[in-house]
This record gives sequence, C-alpha cells and structure tokens, in this order.
Amino acid sequence: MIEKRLKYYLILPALIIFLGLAIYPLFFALRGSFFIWRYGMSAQFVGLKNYIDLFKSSFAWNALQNTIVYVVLAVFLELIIGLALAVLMNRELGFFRPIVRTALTIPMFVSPIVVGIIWRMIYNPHYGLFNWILGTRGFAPTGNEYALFFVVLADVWQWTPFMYVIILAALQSIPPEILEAGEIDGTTGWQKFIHITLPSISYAIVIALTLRFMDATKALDLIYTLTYGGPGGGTETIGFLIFRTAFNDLNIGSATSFAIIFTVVMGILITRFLGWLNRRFEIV
Amino acid sequence: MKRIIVLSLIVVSVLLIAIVPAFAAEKRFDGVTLKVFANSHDPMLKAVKWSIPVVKEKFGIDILMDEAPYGTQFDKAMSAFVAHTGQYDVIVGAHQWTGAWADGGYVIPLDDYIKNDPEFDPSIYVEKAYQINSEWKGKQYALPFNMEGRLMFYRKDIFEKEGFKVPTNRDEWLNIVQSINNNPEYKEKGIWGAVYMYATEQGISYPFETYFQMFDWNSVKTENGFWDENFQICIDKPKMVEAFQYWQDRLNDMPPGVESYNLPEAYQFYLDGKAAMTEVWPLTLYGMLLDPANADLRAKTGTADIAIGYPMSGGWGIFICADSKIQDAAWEYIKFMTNAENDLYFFKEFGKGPSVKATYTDESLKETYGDWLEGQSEAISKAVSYGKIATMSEFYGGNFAVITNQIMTGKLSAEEGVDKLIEELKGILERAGYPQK
Amino acid sequence: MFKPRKKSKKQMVNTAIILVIAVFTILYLLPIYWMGITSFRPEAKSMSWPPNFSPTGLVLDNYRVVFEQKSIFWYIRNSLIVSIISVVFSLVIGCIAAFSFAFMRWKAKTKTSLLIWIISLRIMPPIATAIPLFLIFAKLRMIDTFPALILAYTFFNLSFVIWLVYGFFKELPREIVEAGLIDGCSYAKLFTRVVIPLTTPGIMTVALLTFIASWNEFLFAVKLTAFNTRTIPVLISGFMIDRGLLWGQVSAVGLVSIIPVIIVALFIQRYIVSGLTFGAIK
Repeated sequence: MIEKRLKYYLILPALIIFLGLAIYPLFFALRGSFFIWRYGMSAQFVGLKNYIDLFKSSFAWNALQNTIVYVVLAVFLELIIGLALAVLMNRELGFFRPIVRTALTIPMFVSPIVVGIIWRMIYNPHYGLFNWILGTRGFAPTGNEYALFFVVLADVWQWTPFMYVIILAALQSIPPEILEAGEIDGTTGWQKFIHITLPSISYAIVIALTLRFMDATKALDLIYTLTYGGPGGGTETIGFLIFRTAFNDLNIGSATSFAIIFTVVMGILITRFLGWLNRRFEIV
Repeated sequence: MKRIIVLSLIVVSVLLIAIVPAFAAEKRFDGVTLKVFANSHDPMLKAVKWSIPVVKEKFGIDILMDEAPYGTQFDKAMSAFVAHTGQYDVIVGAHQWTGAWADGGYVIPLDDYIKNDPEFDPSIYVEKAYQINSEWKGKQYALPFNMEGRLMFYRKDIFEKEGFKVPTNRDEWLNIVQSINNNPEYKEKGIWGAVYMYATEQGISYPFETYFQMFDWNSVKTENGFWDENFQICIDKPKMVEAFQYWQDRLNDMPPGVESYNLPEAYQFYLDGKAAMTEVWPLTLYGMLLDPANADLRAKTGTADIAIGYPMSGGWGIFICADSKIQDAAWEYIKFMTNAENDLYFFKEFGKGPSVKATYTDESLKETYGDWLEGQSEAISKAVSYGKIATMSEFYGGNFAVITNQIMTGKLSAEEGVDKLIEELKGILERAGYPQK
Repeated sequence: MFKPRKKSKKQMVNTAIILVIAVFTILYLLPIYWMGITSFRPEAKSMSWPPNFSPTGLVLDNYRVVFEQKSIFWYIRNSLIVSIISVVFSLVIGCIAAFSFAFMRWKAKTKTSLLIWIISLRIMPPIATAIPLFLIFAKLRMIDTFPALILAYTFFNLSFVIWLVYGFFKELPREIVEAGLIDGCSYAKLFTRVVIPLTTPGIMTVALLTFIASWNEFLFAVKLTAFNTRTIPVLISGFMIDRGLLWGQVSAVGLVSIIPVIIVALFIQRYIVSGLTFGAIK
C-alpha cells in the first residue's frame, strides 16, 4: 500500500524542520546546561551544578514570581475586560460591530518591540499620555516598585482584543433556541448568563486562556523596550532573565539550564492540559 | 566629420582603458572588502558611515558596515568570535571589552604593525586615550577612537541667580540640589536640582559609579576601588554600605521616575531645562546642545569637573579581528580613522570625542568649543576607569549591575546588597582568571 | 402636532452601548494615533505638555531622515524577503503535513499525540533555541544569510500552520473528498484540484498571520543578522538605547513598520477567530 507510507512521507519535511531546528538545538542546549560554559572560556563539565545554582539564585525566584504575577494578572484582566466587551457587543448593532472589531484588532498585530516603545512614551513622567489622563504630572509608572503592573497594563492593551474577538465569536455561535429556552423557564438575565451563556462559551474561553498563557509566559520583547527588566529587576520575567543571562552575562550554561527547565515544565503542563482538553472537547 | 568623431571616440576609449587601470592599480587594496562592526553611538556611527566612500576613493577598500547599540554589540561580537564566523574584520568597541577579546585571542595585538609602520606615530594620541583604549597586559590592542571624561553640566543662569558656586564636594553639591528642590519658584517651573540615569540598559546606575570617588583617592591603589593590583577584592565594606545609603537617600532628591531613566531620557530631562545639574558623558550632550533648537540652553550651560572625586573615563577603540584575512587593509583603515586630521574632522562634524592631542589645542576650534575642550582635556587627565578584565561585561550588564540597581532603587538594603555584590564580584574575578584568596 | 418618536427601551440601551464602546475604542487607539501624530512633528516639538493631538503643524522631517539616512527601505526589503519566503515555505510544508493528518488513515492515538507534540513546540521559549541555532548556523557558515533567518521563521511558524490548516481541511465535507478518491483522483490531484481550492480563503488567512509573526519577530532577527539581512525590528530596538530620545524618528519607523500589518489585518477579518485560535474555534 502506497498510502501506508505516503502519509509518513508527507509529514516528513515538517518533521525534519522540527527535528533540525527545535529538537536538535534543544539537545545541544541540554548538553550545554551541564557545563560551565561562557562565551570566550573553555567549557567545563560540572554536572547538575547549573541547575542547583538556579534553585539557589534569587534572580530566578524573583523572575519566577514576576512571571507568575505577570501572566496571571495580564491574562485575568484580559479575560474580564474582553468578556465584558464581548457581552456588551453581542446584540444587533449593525455595521458598528465590524468597525469596532477591526479597530480593536490593530494593537495585537503590532510588534511587541513597538508596543514597548509606544508605552515608554505613554509612561514618560513628563510628557506621557498616562499622566495626562490621570491629570497628574511627574508620576513615573515604570519607575517604582509597581512597575510590573504597568508592564502588565501594556500587555493588557495589546491582548484584550484577542479575548474579545474570540469570546464574541463564541457568543454569536450559541444557538438562539438555547437562550430562548432559558427565557421561557423564567430565568433572570444574570442567571441566564451564569447557567446558559457561560457554559456554552467555556470551550472558547479555555482555548483563549491557553493560548494567551503560552505566549505571556515567554514575554520578552515588550519588556526589552519598555523597562529592560528594571527598576532593580522588578520587571524581570523568566524570558527576560534567560535573555539577560545569555546575552549580557554570556553565561550560556546557566541560561540554557534555565531554558531547559522552563521548556520541560511548561511542555509537560501544556501537553497534559491539551490532552485533557482533547478528551473533553475533541480538538484534534 | 563622422569619421573624426568615431576616431576620437576610439582614441578616448583606448586611453580610458589604458589609464583607468593604471590609476586603479595605484590603490593598494583594490577589490578588498572590509567588514566593519560599528557602534550605533551617533558620532562614531556617523564617522564610520562617512568613511565608506572616502576609503573607497583613497585605498580602494569597499566597506560593509554592521552596527549595534551598546547593549547588544558586545554579545553579538562575542558570539561571532566564539563561533569563528569571520564576519567582522574591524570592530569599534568600548575599552572595557578589551580584556575579553584579547584574552580569548579574538583581536590581534597591534604591536607588530606599530613597530613596522614608519608612518604611524603613537605620540599624536592623548596618552591616557592610547592607554585606556586599549592597552592590555602590556600590548596595544586598539587605536583610540573616541575619548570622553565624565563632566558635570550645570545651568549658569540658575547658579548666578541663586549665588551658587560650582560645587567641589559632596556636601556643597547636595546643598545646591536641595535648595533648588525646596525653592517654590523652581518647584513651580518643575526644575529639579539634579538628574541621573538609574536604569540598567547602559550599565550600572550612574551615581553608583561615583562610589569609589567618595574615597580618599590615595587609599585606592589601582584603577578602581573594587579590586587591587593583584585582582583581589578590596572593597571597603563599611564605606561601600555608607556610599549606597547615601545614594539611596538621594533618590528623594531626584525627580520622580529617574529609576526608569535610561541615558537618553536623562539627557532629555536636562535638555528640557528641568535640571540644574547633571553628570553625563559629555559628547552626546554637547552634540545635542549644538542643535540650533537648543541654542538658548547652550548659552546657559556651563561645564565643570564633577563635584565628587574623580571623573569616569569612557574610551572606545578600533580593533582588528583575529579571524580577519585582510589584516593589512584593516590596519590601514584603523590608522586612517584615528589619524590627527580625521580626529579633528570627526569632532567638528559629528561630535566624536577627540583622542588626538592636537585636536584639543586646535585654533580653529577655540571659538566654538574652547571651554568644553579645556574641561574635557582636564577631565580626561584625571579620569579613572573600571578596568578591562575579561568578565567586564558581567560587571556592567549582568547580575552585578542588577544587584547594584536593586540597592540604588531601594529594593535591597545596603548591607544585604553589598554582601551579595561581593559574592558576585568574587565570581566575576575568578571567571576572569584571578582566583580569590 | 409634535409627536415624539417612540423609542423602545432596547434601542436606547443599544445607543448607550454604542456610545460607550465608541468612546472606549477611540481611547484604545489613542496611543497609536499619538504615535502617528508624533511621527509628523518636528523633533523639537515631538513631546509637549499637555499632549498635542491636533493634526496641525505636521511635517515630513522625520520621514526624510528615516528614509534617507537610516535607509529604512533596505530594512523593509529584508523584512519582506524573509517574511514572504518563510511564509511560502511554512505553508507548503505545513499544508502537505496537514493533508496527511486530515485525509489519510492514522491511528487516532498516534495522530493526537503527534499533533499535540507539534503544538507544544510553541511553548519553547525562542531563547532556548536561539543560542544553539546561532552556533549551528555559524558552523554551517550561514550567519547573516537569508536562508538562516528563513529557516528559523519557517520552523516557528510551522506548528501554527499545521494546526490551522488541519482545522480547515477537517471541516471539508467528507463526501467531496471521498468522491474525489473514488473517481480515481490521485492524492496529488485531490490536494491541488479539490482540497486547496476549497480552503483557499482559510489558507490565505494563515499566510497573512504567519507573515505578521515573521514581520514582527525580534530575537532571531537580532542574533542571526549582520550586514545583509537586518530586519525592521532590529532597527527599531536600536533606537531605544543609543540614538537619544528621537521620539519623532522612532514613531516614524514604528508607524512604517505597522502599516503593512494593519493592511494585512484588514484582509483577514473574516477568518480572524479561527486564525487566532489555531483553528480550535471557528
């Protein structure tokens, strides 16, 4: 049977690309993570030392903490705002809705590098829009211990439309009969929302959350131009810390060990989660 | 008639064919392509860009230019060196990178060229520049390209009006800062006593660099207050804690938001007329002040030695990469870029920091730049630098810098922070090949 | 006699919502508008207090600098070359793989785990592969060449493409496909004559989304390029550090870099949801 082999041949190019550009480099990195390996110095095998050091490093824990705050807060705010917007917009509004949707989708396609620069301008304590909107002057959002929250705000600005667009689409695909059936039962608006609407769009919400979660944990470009991890490491996420360790400290061994742990932990979490999702919703 | 035209055309073309190669042959490096890795720092970048057609004309060298900002250049160069991509022939680099590149054998010592080239005369350079950018372990690795000594800029008009004298020590400086901050008139206008850069993009927070300026300089034996001549840590812990506490307190005297200021933002703050004093790399600010839009501020700006201790020096050199296969052409190029004539031209046109003695005393500059050059010359003669050990990049951009920033911004207490710094520094020195006792 | 037009409660609510959302949308786009306006102001006036939103006093100075001195055209050209070619590669490879998954007989379990494995590759922080990839490309003497960057982008777009296209293929009515096979169509014919034409709009969306991703990519771009292949994000990132606060010029470059993206975004409105969710939601 040709077909039997053909199906493998057809996915072969993709597999080669994945193996060559993801798996091989990953093993390369794995090997490197067992060495004290800095650019310009001969590598020295040290076993698990890099990993052990990592657990002792206050920077790593700081970055982990920042990443968790960043991801949880950003994704949560995006979900709430996106959901509220979508519910508001889920009614007969004529041509108004597509216009709003088109307008709101622009931010999420802008390079995070540029978003960082835009928000650096916005947060400028002396000329920025942020102070103007607050009616203050001289307040520096990224210059204090709450800087991380303001980085989150920039992320929320860019990605809330993502939630909005997806949830709105899900809302619109709820068959009207289901909602009407609820009305006959005499449920109020709020109950209807909790018991009928939310369950019907739960799948869309889960998918949107998963995708945002995956991307937010890797956040780097935005921080690179907005705060460069400062002040005092207050906005250093895992992605940024790995970047800094590799490219400022040139400590490749340590950076790769961090990247490996991150990849493995996230990989297990996500594949498990997707497996569960697949059993529940049959996404594949 | 027609025949004459045809004939003359033939004659002309024969002549051209004969002559052009003859001219071209005079150029030593025809057909050579030199790959230059420039830094994006504006004056230096402009100088390299300017050189592209000029060098083609003069030596026949084609130049390909890559550029990177300070924050990424070192890493990019290192990764190219380590992988031996051979992608650069010549590289414009900061003096503190010399150790890493020299120890790794990625750039070549220039001593043979210097000895054998009768045209080359090292005595034209400011001695300190020649040394700092970049002599390492007794060998010369680069020719000095850009030289600066940190200066203080202050607002003459404000100082005159309030009767301030240029501060010469920490207390005087602080007095001025606070009396401006507390003056309702300036508060109204949003003018602050001083502004510094605190963000880590370009290295350690600036005020911290004055840490070792707070010592009695005679007590610091070598080029900085962190390690001694044997590269053993010699941090005076109580002194350092005190210095940090002093600067933590100063955060209250700084305009809001300085914690997030990178270098350009600090410059801009001064340019907007919002700070009475600042301490920066002078040349970029000079350049900005020369802009006609800032003429007003320029007239009001004075420069002076920094108030506390010794100025930092910033030096850039041009290196020749060991992987380069056209090192002769590279030598010709770096010699050309740093010669007296071009040094003067680059300063005048682009505001590059002069590294040739004659530039500082040039008559044609007296009128426009006289006071600046004098100040610069003096600052450079007093200037100190951190050093060039192989792990300098960690010192400037790694955990060490971030911890420093954490202390400066009050995230870490000074005592706790200094312990961490010493620990970190120990690693930095050991990795550079200097075991700590 | 004056007779007030009767409005139902529902209509009034709608109007109120439209107003609220309209204001919200305008505020939402204010940053981008502000950047646009700033890019047209002379550098000396690029920042003022209070922020100046009026579209007056606009000049082209910044664009002149950006186009003449910084030769932004060259960066655009590089970005276009890399983005377009990598999009084509990842589409061809991805569509073929998706075709195999969608129309050939796979063991359900194998297929599921393969597909989940493919999507999970997206978790990998780009940093984890950036360093090894650099060293590998250096060994192959491919640093600063278009193929290196194109390969890297093809890789990180591929999982996305496979998933999305697989989703579109799966949606095709089985009958059409089976009818094609019974008619004696070869798989090649089925692929080019039936499947691809039927899913063209969806595939176009995927193409545009991958284009945007490549266009905006920063990390690989900064590591793998030098003289010949620098792309726009690399140019933009350099502004933040060394060039002083040239807000006008940064804004100009920023705006130039997002215009293609905005145009592209306008085209994919219809499929945007399935595009954004890897085809998981239609």
